[in-house]
Formats: sequence, C-alpha cells, structure tokens
Amino acid sequence: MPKEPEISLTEKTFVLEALKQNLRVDGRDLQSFRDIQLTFGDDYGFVDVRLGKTRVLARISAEVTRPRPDRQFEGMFTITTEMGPMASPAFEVGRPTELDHTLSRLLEKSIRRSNALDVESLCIVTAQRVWSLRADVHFLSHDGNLIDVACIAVITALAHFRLPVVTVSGEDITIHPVEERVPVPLSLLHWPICVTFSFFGEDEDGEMICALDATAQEEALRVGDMTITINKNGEVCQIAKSGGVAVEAEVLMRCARLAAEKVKGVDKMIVDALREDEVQRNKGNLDWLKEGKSENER
Amino acid sequence: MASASLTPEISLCPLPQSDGSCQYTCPTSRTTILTSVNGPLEVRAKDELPNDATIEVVVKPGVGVGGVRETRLAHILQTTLKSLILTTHHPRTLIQIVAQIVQSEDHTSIPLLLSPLLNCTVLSLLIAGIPMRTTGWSIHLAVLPAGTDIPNKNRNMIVGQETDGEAMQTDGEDVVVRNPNRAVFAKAKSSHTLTFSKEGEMLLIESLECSEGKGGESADGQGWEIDEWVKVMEIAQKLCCGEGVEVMRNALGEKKVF
Amino acid sequence: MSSQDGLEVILPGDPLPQLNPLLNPEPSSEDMKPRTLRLGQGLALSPSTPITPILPYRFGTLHVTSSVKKPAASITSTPRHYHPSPNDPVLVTLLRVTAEQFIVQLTPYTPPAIIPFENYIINNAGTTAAARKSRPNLPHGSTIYARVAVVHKHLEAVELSVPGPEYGEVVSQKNTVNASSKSSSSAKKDTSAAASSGNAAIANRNEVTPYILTISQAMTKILIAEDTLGKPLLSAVASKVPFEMIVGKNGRVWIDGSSQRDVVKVARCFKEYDDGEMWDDPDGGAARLRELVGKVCGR
Repeated sequence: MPKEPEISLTEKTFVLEALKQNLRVDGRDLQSFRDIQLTFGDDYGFVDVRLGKTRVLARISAEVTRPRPDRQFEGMFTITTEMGPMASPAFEVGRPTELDHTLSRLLEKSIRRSNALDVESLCIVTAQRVWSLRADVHFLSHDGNLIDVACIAVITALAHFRLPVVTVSGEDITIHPVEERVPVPLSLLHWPICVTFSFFGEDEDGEMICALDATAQEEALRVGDMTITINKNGEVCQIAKSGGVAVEAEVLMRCARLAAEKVKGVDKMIVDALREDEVQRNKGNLDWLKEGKSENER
Repeated sequence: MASASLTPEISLCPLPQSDGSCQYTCPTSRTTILTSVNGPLEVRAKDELPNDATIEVVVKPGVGVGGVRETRLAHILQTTLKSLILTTHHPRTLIQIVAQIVQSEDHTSIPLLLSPLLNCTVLSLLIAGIPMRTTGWSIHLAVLPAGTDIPNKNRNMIVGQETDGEAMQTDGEDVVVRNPNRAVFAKAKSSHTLTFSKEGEMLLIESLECSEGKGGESADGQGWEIDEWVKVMEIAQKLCCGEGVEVMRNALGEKKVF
Repeated sequence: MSSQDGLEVILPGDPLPQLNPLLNPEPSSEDMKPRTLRLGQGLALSPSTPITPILPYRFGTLHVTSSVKKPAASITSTPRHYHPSPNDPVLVTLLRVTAEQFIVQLTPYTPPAIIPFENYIINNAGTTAAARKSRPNLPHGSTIYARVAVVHKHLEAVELSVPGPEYGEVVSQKNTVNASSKSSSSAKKDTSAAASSGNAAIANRNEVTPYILTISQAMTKILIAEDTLGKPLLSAVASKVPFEMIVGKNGRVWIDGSSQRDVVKVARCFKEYDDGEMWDDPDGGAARLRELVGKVCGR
C-alpha cells in the first residue's frame, strides 16, 4: 500500500498564508462550498454526488427479514461505508483507516441516531416481517470533505428511494413489483446534513481560521476539524470535535450558525434535484404507456 | 454492422484523480461498471515480484460488502489481464485495478457482470498507459431453446438479427443472444462469457448451463452439445475481433493525444 | 528530414508494417550501412510478433522520423501517469537525507527517487554536494528543480541530478534580495520565461508568494511548449497578471507572482483549463479560455 504523498513546504506555506487573507487556491472564500452536482440512476435510491473532484455514490436497497427479537416493531437500517483504493491508492481493502472509522461513526450518529428514518414505518407484520434497508456508500474519488458528501449522498438516496407496496393477508405477504403498483417513498422525519469545519490555527488578530468544505490538500494541513450535523429547521443533531486544536465556545457558536445557514441551501438543492428527476421519470412513464401494453415485460 | 443501440456507452477518464478510468454501460443488459487503474505504484514488500509488476484487482459490489463472488470475479479478471499486460516492463511495482459495480439488474449474477467488467478494465488500462501486449474484448452469449418468445424490444440481442428487429426467428434452431438482460437471460439454457484478443486468441471461457426458466445460474444437468459450443465460440470470436475492436478504437480515437 | 503523424489510433499489439522500410533499408540507397532505428516511448522490440519485430504497447498515434541518419519511431500518447525519461526537468519534494543522497518524491504513490550528492552541483565551478561543507542544508519538504539522470527498470530507484546552479532548491522565502537574483536566474531556465516582464514587480514582494500546482501530463506538455501549444493560455494569462513559472515534467508547476492573489489567479486559470480539458475543444479552447480568464482575473 503506497503512502499518501508528502506536501511540499512551498504549498504548505502558501496555503496557510493565503487562508489568513481569506483566500483559497481554488478561488473560494473560507465560507463557501464547491459546486454540488447530484445525478440519479435508473433505479430508485441511487445517487451520484460530486463536489469538486470528490465523488461518492450511494445506493439504497431493501429486503424483507425477521425483526430483531428485542425490537419487534421496528425495521432495520444499516449504512455501509467502505473506502477502497479507487478513492485514493493509499486506501486498502479490508484494512480500514482512521478516516473509515470516523466516517461510519459520524454517519451513524448523524442519520441513524437522529431518527431521520422512521424505522417503525418499515414494519410489515409485527414480530414477523420487517423491511431491512441498507445504504451502501461508495467512495470513487477523494478530494476532501468525504463526510459532508457521504451524508448528502445517503440523505438524497433515502429521499429518492421507493419501497415496493406490500399487502398482508393473514400470514401471507405479497410484495408487488414496481411495475404492478406504484412504490411509496420512505417516511423521513427530517434531513440531517453534515457540515465540516477545518481549523488552521489563529491569524495575526488571534482569530481562529476556519474553513468549510476543505479539499484533500487543506485537510492534510489542518490542525483540527469539527463536524456539525444540523437540519434545515436549525435543529442540531450532533457535534463531533475529536481532538485537534482547542476552539473557543464563541467560535463553535459562530460555526453552528453558519452551518444552519449552509444547510438551508443544501436542503433546497436536494429538493430541486429530486423534483427535476421526478419530472424526467414521469415523462418516461408516459412514453412507456404509449408504447403499448404488450411490451411491459421488463 | 451493429445498429446504434448495440454500441456500449463509454466515458473515458470520469475520475480525475486516477491514472486511467472508464465508465462502461452495456447497451442491452444496462450493467454499468466504473473502473480505475493506477500504476505503476509502490508495492508492499510482501507482494513484490523481482521481475514483474504485481497486478492487484479489487471488485467492489454495488450492494453489500465484498464476498466470495467478488473475489471470484477479481480472480478471473486478474488472470485474464495478466495475459494482456506486459508485467516485465515495470518490475517491483504495483498495478492497481479497482472495479466498482455501479448498476446492474442483478447484482448477484456473475455472467451479467463479467463481460462489462472486462471491457471496462481493458479500456482503463489503455487510458492509464499500462504496457500491454495486445487488447482484448469480451462478450456474453446465452443460448435460448428454439421457439423462445423474446419480446420485440429485445430482439436486437439475437445474433444475426441485430439490424432487423422484426425478422422472424428460424424455427427448430436454438437462439443465440448477446449480452442479454436479466429477463432474456432467465430463459437461457446455457451461458458463455468469452474473451478474445484482437488477434483472435481465446483468453477466457466462462461457460455454464442454466435451467430454463429458473433464471441465472442453477443447472439442471442438461449440459450442451460440443457443436453448439463451437458455434457460440465462433460467433463470439467474430464479434470480439470485429465490432469489439472497432468500438474500442472509436472510443479511444476521440481522445486527443499530443 | 521528414516527420509524419499517423492520424489513426494504434492499439497495443497492432502490426506496424510502415516501419519495415526503416528496419531494412532498400539496397538502392547510397549508404549500405545498416541504420539503427531508435524506438521511443510506447514501442518495444519483440521478436515473436509477425510482420514487424516491433510491438506498440500503448495506445496513441505513431510518430515516425524517417531521417537518413537517425530514424526514430515512437507512440505519441498522453497517459496521466508520469513515466520518467532521461533529461526530463522535474520538480521534486525532499523526503529525507541519508549518508549519500537526497531521497525525494517524484510522483505521488510511487517509490521515491534519489539525488546522489555527487550529482548535486551547487555552483558554476562544478563543486558537488559530496563534501559535508558544501552540502546545502535543505529542510524536509523543500522543492528541488532537477533533471532525470538514469532510469532503468531494474534499478532500485530513479536517479536524478542537479546539473548546475540554475537547478537546485527552488527558493520560497520572503527574501527580496534573494528573490531578485532568483528571478533572473530562473529566467534562464528553459521553461520559465513566460512573463519576464513582471520581474521588477516580483522582486518587490513582501509576502510568501510561490506556489506549486499539480497538473496533468497533457497540461505539462502544453506549458512546456510555451511558444506553440501553450501560447494561447500563457499569453492570455500573462496579459492580465505578470508571473513566473518553472515546469516540472512530473506534473508540477512552480508559479510565482507579485502577490498571493495574483498567484491564485494564475493557478486557477491553469487548473480550470486543465480540468476542463479546454485544449480538446474544436476551437482549441479559445472561447472558454477567454471566458475563464475574464472570470478569474477580471475584465
């Protein structure tokens, strides 16, 4: 497994000096995100998120299983994140890095523990049959800020996913294929979005330099980071700041306010993307109806 | 000559940070694969070969975590690619190949995944500039019993009827379809994934029998006649060396080099 | 001398009958001496292949120089990975120093390269860094401008050299005196004279301004060919912002300007031109380039 490359002194000095002047190498200011692009696949619950050169796929899949004996009214929901060498040659399969652990723990805290998905709505027959939902997150390209992108990917995929309709008659359950009955969206209670701040030490006035949406280069140079998960209503779901430079409470408050503001924009962007996809899909459905019923085999 | 709908969708270098990458969508089965190739890189000491490059292949499933199926696919890819890559050009280095299954009608079916995986990887290797002896192309052919009802919209999969989807199939003879989708593949009695080099050398055969109407891979012990297999092989060789190489040349020809 | 470009894409393993006349010259030609055909990038000798014993092992276009004295052939392609070849100028990062050599990073994720002290010439008199007294004291992470000396696949590492004082450490200090001398000396470097008009301004800087940008191999080729391929980009940027640059063929370019803001402008233009693969446009990227420079540097 090759090591992550060394950053030259020239780059290091330049990036840190520039940040003190509210300047970044890609021309952004400290408080802006790179452009986010969402693309949906043919299937429901599949989304491709790009943020600058960072690219993450998320796919939701569902199957029917027995519930856990201690939670008979609840369906299951798991998030799988596994980093592979596709994102960066320094990642190895089957040997999770620290970043892997941080990521899976943060997504767990942000999405699962914040009850974003109503797991009780996944119950089909109490103590007998429930939906087991899984979100697979694939990291294709790593240029920083994987946490925020992964969170956006999972939330968008959940909002995009449709669960097949199930009818229950006595002991038997029937799962209707997508072609037969229009599948239903999941019951999402709120959309938690992660916003990660990177700290680069204090400038001449003693102010902490903190930047949003750090690139891989900036991540390698930062002295601390903090992830705030918040929804568009301004409800904080989770704050994680593990180690790194000490930050004053005032800075934290400022970050949280900024995060609340940013999340509104991200939320709107996801809504717009979903709506556009819906329009595209319905257009396709009408064409398909026109083609005639004899060909609806697929 | 293939009709437009049989040309795979190929996007070269979708991943800006790897040495070579490719996204490939099979026109008929809609299987989408994304591969990245990096190399030659620094190799772990335990994998180092004194006279050759180490080829590492990782196949990442679209759903769930990697298991036996992915290891098997990775192994097939690795051994096939080994016969294409000139490993002696970069001894004591690593050529790292990662394939991500992006979309598939059936994430558990090796036959539906294998041929797109191979084609996509070969294109990535070419883009990455990895030294290769020659190139290869792969195709998945399925044999359907005579008289199988194939929906009109899938008729273009039938070998020999690509251009005229409405033509009637000849009765009493088995039907060979190429890169079938799941619905058509479910009716197959045998499945053959074959890979040929541009010069026509056979690089890979993955043949298996399928029980009719039960979908995919479960066998019912009928096997296949050797004549039938030879026929399939000849079709595959013609398609791989003909239009397969053409597709590859066209895709790469759009890339500007200087 | 004539050179021709095969427009057709060559795939690995394609037969190259067009090279046969170069291998076996017609007896009618005046000199009967067998000539040696030089094989460049992408071609290898392979006695087992039919038609010609030459095997293309990369995709690209065939480039033949059928000169009488020095016939040569190579496959032109732009792989993203940098494959070192002798005499390439490169910008490397110092990883550590051992008893005999500097260990440096040539490209990410590859084994490190080395600069033996006796290959490190520090002044015009040819003094090398071999003696402890003359050895430059370079901090880890410094950037060294060097040339590729020896590449052999069975060698432990790629060997680099610093063939003279115009090479060596690329200074990145707030030292105005040093900076002005560096400006004039770097102007001598074959790849750095893009915007020498800005030298006076650069000498007066008072902040840390140089930056190293990582770029693709295609972009490297464009920047090195500053009078041909790179002209539209470089003149467009230089008309707005004065800057200096040193291009390393390993995909790194050192950029300096009169302020950090200027350097960021140049870096952004380069980066976005590269990411957008603007050279691939039908008009050579002219329209998008104009828009980009306008957006980044102001009208």
